[in-house]
Amino acid sequence: MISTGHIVIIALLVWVAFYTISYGVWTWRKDNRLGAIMIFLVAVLTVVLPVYILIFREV
Amino acid sequence: MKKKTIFGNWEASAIIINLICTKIFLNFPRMAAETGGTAAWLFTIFIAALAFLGFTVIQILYKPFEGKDLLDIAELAAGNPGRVLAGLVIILGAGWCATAYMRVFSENMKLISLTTSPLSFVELFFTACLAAGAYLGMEALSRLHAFSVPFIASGYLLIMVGVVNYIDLGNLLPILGNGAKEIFISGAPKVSVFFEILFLFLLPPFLKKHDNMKTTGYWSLGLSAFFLVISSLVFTSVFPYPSSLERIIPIFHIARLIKLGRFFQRLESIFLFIWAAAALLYISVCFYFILFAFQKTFRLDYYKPLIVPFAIIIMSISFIPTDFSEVITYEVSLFRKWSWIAAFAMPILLLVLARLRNKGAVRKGRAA
Repeated sequence: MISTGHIVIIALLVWVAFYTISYGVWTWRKDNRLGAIMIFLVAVLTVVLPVYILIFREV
Repeated sequence: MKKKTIFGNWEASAIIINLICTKIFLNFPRMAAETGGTAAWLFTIFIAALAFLGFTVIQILYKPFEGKDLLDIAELAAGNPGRVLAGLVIILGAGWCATAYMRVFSENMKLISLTTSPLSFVELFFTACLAAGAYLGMEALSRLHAFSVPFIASGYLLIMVGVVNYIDLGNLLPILGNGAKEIFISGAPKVSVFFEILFLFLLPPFLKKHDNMKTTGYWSLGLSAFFLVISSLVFTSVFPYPSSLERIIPIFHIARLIKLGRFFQRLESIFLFIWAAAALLYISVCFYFILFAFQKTFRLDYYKPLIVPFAIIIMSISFIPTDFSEVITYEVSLFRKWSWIAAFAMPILLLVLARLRNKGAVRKGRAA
């Protein structure tokens, strides 16, 4: 069951992920493709892992 | 102009000593007793000697690469793929250390003093501290270590001295414990207890001279070996084998025994203080090295925008194991069995390759 607290946490995580993606885009524009891809991966993990823990592991 | 961070031998030694010795508060004495039986102290001396040998080989090979860290050497040895591979190994190693220790320390903290608090609440403090440590950078972390490690070491030695009345040297017999084969052959891969020496090879840009790295390495290995041997010796001589294997937090159980007259009782409060300080420093430094290695491996301009995302990832991963005994199982039977490859074999291989390529380049230059 997703509570209001969960929604607030997920919103914060999405905000952090967007901030990380913007850094990835900046790195991409500086022609560092591998670095940018790794930053995008970090951004995805920033949302996916905590959501998995919150919803499926109920910590 | 970007300010270059440089620090001394003591700061670097304090970091490495804390990194290697924090496991004393976790499971090292029990792990030594599991492998060596009553000869846990002999097993510890043996793995320390192996670590000295490994470091001696590495520091001899390191001589021509003054001021270069392992990632620079990986690039010299195998170009960009080499740097990325070595970087990923370092990130994974530091990542495991940070996540596993965060989970185990939080669980133990909850078990001992914060019994009614949820685990996520306890971990939040660790996460906030590691993010703050990474934000302040290596210079602040090194100064903090230089200041805190003497207090942590003194508190630890106080506990070891305080329990002297309970020491029964008869508990150390038979002298070869579980047998020479178990200690010297099956126990050899446990040199991975010194895995954290790998982080010393990320410090040369901060230490500048090769002699500084060499001095730091020998001092930190020597003092760490001393503390590790003391812990296993006291643990096995206070708690008879095999009942010693039932102690979940060995040093905590030792600290609880201390009663010096009416006024000096419940010294485990000192244990809690030094334990929390050592754990926080350990996790903060591991976290910083994750960011440092990530930045250098993927040639990023800044690491600070990645502090919060990585802190969230580390905290989330630490919740994945079902309980802390599962973490300890992975730590002892997997990480502390195979991580010597990353800590000793990988640097030796990279240094040999880099030296061969260097020689090749010099010969080509002469021929031209």
